[in-house]
Amino acid sequence: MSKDIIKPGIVLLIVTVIAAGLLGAVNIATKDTIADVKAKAKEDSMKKVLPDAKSFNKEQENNNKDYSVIKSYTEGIDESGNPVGCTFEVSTKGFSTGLNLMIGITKDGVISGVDILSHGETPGLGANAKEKWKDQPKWVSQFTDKSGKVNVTKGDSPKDDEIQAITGATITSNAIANAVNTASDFYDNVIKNGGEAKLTFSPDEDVDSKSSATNSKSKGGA
Amino acid sequence: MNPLKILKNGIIDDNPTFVQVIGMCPTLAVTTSAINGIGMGLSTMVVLMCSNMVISLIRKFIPDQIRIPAYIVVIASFVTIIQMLLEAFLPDLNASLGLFIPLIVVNCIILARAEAFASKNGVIASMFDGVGMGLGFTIALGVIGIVRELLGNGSVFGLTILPEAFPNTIIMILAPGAFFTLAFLMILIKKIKGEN
Repeated sequence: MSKDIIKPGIVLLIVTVIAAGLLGAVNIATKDTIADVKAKAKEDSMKKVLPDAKSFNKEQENNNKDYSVIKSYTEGIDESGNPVGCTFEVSTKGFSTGLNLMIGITKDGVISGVDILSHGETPGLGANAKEKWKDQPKWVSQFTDKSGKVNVTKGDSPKDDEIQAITGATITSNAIANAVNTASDFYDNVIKNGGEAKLTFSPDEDVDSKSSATNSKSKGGA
Repeated sequence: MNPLKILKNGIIDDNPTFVQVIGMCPTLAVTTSAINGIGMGLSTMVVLMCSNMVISLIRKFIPDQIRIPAYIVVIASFVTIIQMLLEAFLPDLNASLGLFIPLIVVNCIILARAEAFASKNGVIASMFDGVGMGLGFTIALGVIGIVRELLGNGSVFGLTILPEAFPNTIIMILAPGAFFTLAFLMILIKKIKGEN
């Protein structure tokens, strides 16, 4: 009787020990490469959103609780070491958690690029933020060259300070716009002025209320 | 057993999605577009083939009482190793398939084939079973993905097909659309086969 219990137990132990050993070995073998790949992907993303920068200063952690979505920021400099702008790594929540963005803003407050590092948005809806949008290479390209606070509209003809919401993904659109606005605000208030600044605007929860007039063609849902 | 017969069994006679109706979780969740469905199907096929072969190799050493935990350990280790290797050496492929890889662990097709086929058959036959079932799964997910993408987004494989004027039915790319599509496809297949 006890033999029936001990033998399978030992076999299972052997199987798990081998599996754990293999996992450990592969982890050790790939750990450094994975870290390099991730660091390189992040640097590529920083260069993409702030093309004027030739190199970057050391990454700074953000400790300001009022801007808790901003994880870190890195100042970009040109050949002679003058600051040209900043990149912000933002971790926020769209329709689901884990929406990570890289946002580049020049020293004049102009948004120079937005890049989606990773996301968990619905494929076919929110995930379209990474896809081609009308005449733009990506939906997030709409932010490029805008400055100040950017609003989301569901209408077909966005004004200068507006970007068009993704069809069926208002929540994702708002989350990205809020992230960009927060980064702009952080740059103006915290980095340029230094100190304990507070958020100077209230993030939009939904665009329905203010764009309902232009909203006849758009579809609901998120 | 004849390898061709095993392949045909996986793709048509015993299609995991339309006939066995297993692995529903990824089937419903990732088929929002044709490319997602096929990506998930192919990743599953690779893991299924490898796990079937390993399980067939060790089937004589594993006592009956502990076979399920042993299989789960093998499959989970496999998936994790593949994920780490992809992340380290093929970051581009990982960026497009990385989403699906953790989903494979919880895909019951893999455990079902380990239990129903690999634990009773030789290595080569098990490999063919993995490929056949994997292809059957890929085709099923691809078809569901094509239907949902076409109706929900007016495109197939990212290429716009339906004219602008044709309204996109957003619900087709939301969760309910998966149930509708699957149900209609199953009815269609039963009709073709002449069953009621």
